[in-house]
Amino acid sequence: MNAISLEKTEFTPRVIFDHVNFKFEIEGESSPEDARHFYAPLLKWIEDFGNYLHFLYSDSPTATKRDIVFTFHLDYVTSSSLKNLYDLLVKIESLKNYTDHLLIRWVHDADDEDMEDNGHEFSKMLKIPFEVVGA
Amino acid sequence: MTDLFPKEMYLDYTGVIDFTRKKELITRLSHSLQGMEINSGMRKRMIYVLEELLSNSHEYYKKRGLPDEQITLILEQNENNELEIQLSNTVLKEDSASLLEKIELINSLVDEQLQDLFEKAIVSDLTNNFGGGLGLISIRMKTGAEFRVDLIEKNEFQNILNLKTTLNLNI
Repeated sequence: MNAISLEKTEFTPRVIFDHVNFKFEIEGESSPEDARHFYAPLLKWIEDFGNYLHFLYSDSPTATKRDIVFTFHLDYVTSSSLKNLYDLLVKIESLKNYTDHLLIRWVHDADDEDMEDNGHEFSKMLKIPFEVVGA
Repeated sequence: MTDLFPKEMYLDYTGVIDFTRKKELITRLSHSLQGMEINSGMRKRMIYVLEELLSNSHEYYKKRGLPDEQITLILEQNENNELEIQLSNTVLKEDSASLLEKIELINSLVDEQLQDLFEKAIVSDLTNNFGGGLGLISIRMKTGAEFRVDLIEKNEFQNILNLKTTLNLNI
């Protein structure tokens, strides 16, 4: 499988999904015209990543499972993006079978109560450890 | 209370709405806010409310095949230091009752109920299509204000939906 590396644009975030270096980050603004179109390949990638880990650990059952940390640092999201981010987080949740430590790090600007609230809201809705951090 | 803003109209627009026009209107609002003493969180909230209202109209027109229909948008500060946003758009008569019902429901809920509704909406597949209402629910949550709405007959098949919301700018 290939890593995803998307540059930040005016309306879409920077995305790094790197299964080799285990670096997973989404950073910037998310207000694209078609949020479903933007997030669909990211959802697919997470699914493929889960399959990749499944085969990796099936072939090497004694291999040490690596920590998986997804960092979200979004400074503005539309409601359609929120919906797709939720779907992405649900997909990420399925990765918990392939690691002993799965964590969502939700970073928000210090005076951005709305983004902080979004983090807390998602943390209540999902069964994965969430760290909501002000930057 | 010292006025933080001059009492003026920030935006007054009548025309078609598409993604580019929506972003232009948001940029115009952002420029109007430059130099104002508001924190970035409130600034973002103002932009968010405007964007969600415009997206609502845009998505509705797209889904209903009404690309040439217009909106009227007025954004101004009132005497209570609130940002008042009034948006008028065409709605089909066959959609009017359900739209009004949805808005009345959102208006009737208290915080915890809105939270529940928001969670239901965000997990529902309907939110990827118009009518899911996630945008209106989140506006209600962020503004704390009920929507004011009325319908005016436009023609045999269409009404004009006037939707107004306010955002308290007092800090």
